[in-house]
Amino acid sequence: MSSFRNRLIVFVVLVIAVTVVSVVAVGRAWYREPTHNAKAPAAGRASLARMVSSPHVIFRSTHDDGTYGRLVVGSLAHPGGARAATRLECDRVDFAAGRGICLHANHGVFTRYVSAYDAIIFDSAFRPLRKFNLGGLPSRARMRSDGRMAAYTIFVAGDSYAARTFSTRTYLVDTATAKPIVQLERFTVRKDGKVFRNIDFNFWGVTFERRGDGFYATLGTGGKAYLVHGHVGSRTANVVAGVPPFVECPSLSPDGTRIAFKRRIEHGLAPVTWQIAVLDLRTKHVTLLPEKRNVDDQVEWQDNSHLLYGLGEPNAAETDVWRVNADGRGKPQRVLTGAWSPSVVSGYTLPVG
Amino acid sequence: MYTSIRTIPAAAARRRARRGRIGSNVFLLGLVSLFTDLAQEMVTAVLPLYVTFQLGIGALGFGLVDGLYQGSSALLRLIGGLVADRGGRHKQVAATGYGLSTVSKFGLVASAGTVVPFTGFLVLDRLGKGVRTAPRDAMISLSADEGVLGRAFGIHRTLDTVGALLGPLVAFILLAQIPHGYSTIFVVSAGVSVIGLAILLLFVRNPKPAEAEPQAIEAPKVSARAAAALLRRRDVSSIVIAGSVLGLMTVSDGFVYLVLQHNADLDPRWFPLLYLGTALFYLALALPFGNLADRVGRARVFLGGYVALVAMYVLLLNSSPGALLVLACLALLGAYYAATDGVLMALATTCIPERLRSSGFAIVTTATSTSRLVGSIAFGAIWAAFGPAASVQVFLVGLAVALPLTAISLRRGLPKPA
Repeated sequence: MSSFRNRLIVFVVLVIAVTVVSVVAVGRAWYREPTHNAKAPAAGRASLARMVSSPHVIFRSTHDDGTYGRLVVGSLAHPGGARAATRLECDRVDFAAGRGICLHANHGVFTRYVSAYDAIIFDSAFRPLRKFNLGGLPSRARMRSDGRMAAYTIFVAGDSYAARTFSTRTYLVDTATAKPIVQLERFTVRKDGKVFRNIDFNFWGVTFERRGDGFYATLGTGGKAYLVHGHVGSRTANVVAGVPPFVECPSLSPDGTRIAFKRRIEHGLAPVTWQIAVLDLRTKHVTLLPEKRNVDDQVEWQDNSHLLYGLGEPNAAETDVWRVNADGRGKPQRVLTGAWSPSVVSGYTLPVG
Repeated sequence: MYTSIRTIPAAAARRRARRGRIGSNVFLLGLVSLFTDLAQEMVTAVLPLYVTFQLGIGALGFGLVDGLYQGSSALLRLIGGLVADRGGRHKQVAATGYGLSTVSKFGLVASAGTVVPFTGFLVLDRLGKGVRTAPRDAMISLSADEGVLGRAFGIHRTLDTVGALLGPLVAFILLAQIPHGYSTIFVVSAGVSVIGLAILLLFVRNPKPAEAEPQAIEAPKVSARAAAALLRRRDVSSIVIAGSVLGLMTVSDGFVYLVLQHNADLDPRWFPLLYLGTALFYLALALPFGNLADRVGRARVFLGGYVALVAMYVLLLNSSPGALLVLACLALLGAYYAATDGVLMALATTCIPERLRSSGFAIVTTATSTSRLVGSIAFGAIWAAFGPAASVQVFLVGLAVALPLTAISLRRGLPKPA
C-alpha cells in the first residue's frame, strides 16, 4: 500500500536527520574537547626544581592550554604566576613527605565493564612508583603527613537493592607496597559506647591526624553523615559525640583543633547541596563560612587560618581554586584559575636522578 | 467457561486455533524496545560519571530519586493499562510512554548543567516506562498465535536485552573520544530514542482486540471494576498469587552480586561484569526458554525458573566460591530471568480476556514487582541483623517451601493444558 511507502520515506528521512544531528554533535564536541589540544611539554627539571624549592601547591590543571587533566605545580603567592606541568594525569591528588597519591579515571570503552580507574603513588620528582586499579570512580584522596599511608574513597555502582544507586568504599593503603591495608567498612564502629552496625554503612573522606594512627572520616547511614574518629591499628572507630550528623568530607586543621567539612543541605526532591563550615573539636561549635555556592570538595587547609577548595560551573570543564578564612570572616577569593584538587606542600629539594 | 469456543470472539479464536504465526508487530516492538533501551542505557551508563564529575551532586543524594518513582510508577502502570484497554488504545498509550521517555532525553540535553530539572527528567523517563510496559506486552500477546506466545515474548525480550547491552558500549566509545562529551551523549541518545518511537508510530499496528467482534457473548466491559474483577477469576488469581508469593522470596540481582562479592571477596572492579554476565545468559536463554514454554507448558517453565533460583541460593551458601561457581550463579540467575519474565506474560495471556489485556498485565506486573521490592527490603533487613548467610538461608527455605505450594495452586487454578 502506498501509505506504507510514505511511512517508510518518513522513517528514512528521520533516520538520516538523526544521523546527521548526531554526527554534527559528536564532531563539534570532538573539536571543543580540551584534551584534544596538542599536549604542552612537561616542565624541565630546572623549572620543576625551582618551583618545589619553596612552599607551593600541586593540583590538577583544568586549563585548556594543553595541560588539561595533568598534575601541575604552582604558587599560592602568585596566583597567575609560573606553573610547571608534570607528566602525571590526575583527577584527585594529595602529597606529603615525598609521597603523592594520584587518582585517575580513564574515560574508556570498558569503564563500565572493567573499571579503568587507577591510583598512582609517586615520589617527590613526580615519578610513578606504584600503580593499582581502583575498582570504582575516584572521589577523595589523602596522604598521611608521614607519607607512609594514604586513604582514598571510590564510588561503586550497584551496591544497593534499589538498583542503579551507588555507594562509596574507602580504603587505607600502604604507600610502600601499594597494597590496601584495610577497608573502612571492616572497622568496628561504636556510637555512645555501643557497637553501631547497619547494612547501608558508607565511609568517605578520610583525614589523618599528624601524629599517631588516628584519623577522621564521614560515616553515612540512614541519610545521616556522622563524624567518626578511627584508629588504624585497632580497626575501631567512634562516632564523635556532640557533633551534628551532617559532617561530610572532614579535613583536620594542621594544629589538629578544628575540622573543616561540607555541610549537607537538603532540598526536598532536588539533590542536596553543601556549604563549607568549620567545627571546633573542643567546643563542638560549628562556624558556617561565607561561601554561598555549592562546594563539593574535601577542603584543604593552606595553613591554620585559610582554607582552599575547588569550584566550577556545572557542566564546564574548567574549575578554579578559591580561598576563604577559616574563622568565617571576609570574602572568598579566587587563588588559582583552571585548577582542581589542590594540595599544599612545603618546600623541598628535588631529588637527583 | 472461557475455554468453551462459543464465548471466544472470532479473532481470538483464530489466534487460539492457528499455530505458529508471529506477527511482524512482535519484531517491530522488539526493535522499539531495542532502540529505546539503547538510548536509556547510554544515559544510565554515564550517569555516575556525569553526576559526580560534571554536576558535582555527589553520588549519595542521587539514590533518593530512585526510591521515589517506585510507587508513582506502579499507580501509573495500572491507570495506563486501564486507559489502553478502553477502546483498545494499546498503541496510543504505549506511544505516550515511549514519548515521555523520548521527551525526557531532550530534557536532559536542554537541562544539561542545571541540577534540578535534570533529576526531574530522569523521573519522567521512569514514569514513561511505567506507562508503556503493560500495553506493549498486550500488543505482543495480541500479535502472535497462542501456541507461540512464549516464543513471541522470547523474541521481544532478546531484542530488548541487545539494546540494553549495546547502550553502554556506544556511550563509552563516545566518551573515550570526547571525555567531556556528556551532553553529546544525551543528544545521540535522544536521536536513538526518536528512532524507536518512530518505529512504533509508523509501523506497529494496533492489534484489534475482541471488542470489534459483536458476537462476543461474555465480553466484559472495560472498567476499573472489571479489571479488579479479574482477580476473582481462579486462573488469574492463581497467577497473581504465584507471582507475588515467589516474588517475595526473590532476591534482587543487586543483592546477589553483593553476596557473591562478599563471599568470593571479589575486587569491586569486577562488579559491573556480574551484571554483564547475567544479561548475556538472559540474552542467550530468553528465546530457547520461550520456545520450550510453548512446547512443555508455560507454568512448567515458569516454575522451572524458580527451581534455577533455588539452585542459585544453594550455591550462594558456599562461603568461598571460585570463579566457576560465580559463573554458575550468574548462569542460573540469567536462566531464572529468561524462564520467568516473558514466560509469565505468555502464561497470563491465556487467562486474561483480550479486552482487559493491558490492565490484566498491569495488575500481574505490579503485584510481582511490588512483592519483589518488599522481598528485597526484607533481605536487606535480615542481612543487617544476622548477616548475608542468614538472609540467603531464610530465602532458600522460603522459596523451597513456596515453590511446591505455588505449583499446586497453579495446577488447580489454570485450565488443563497450562
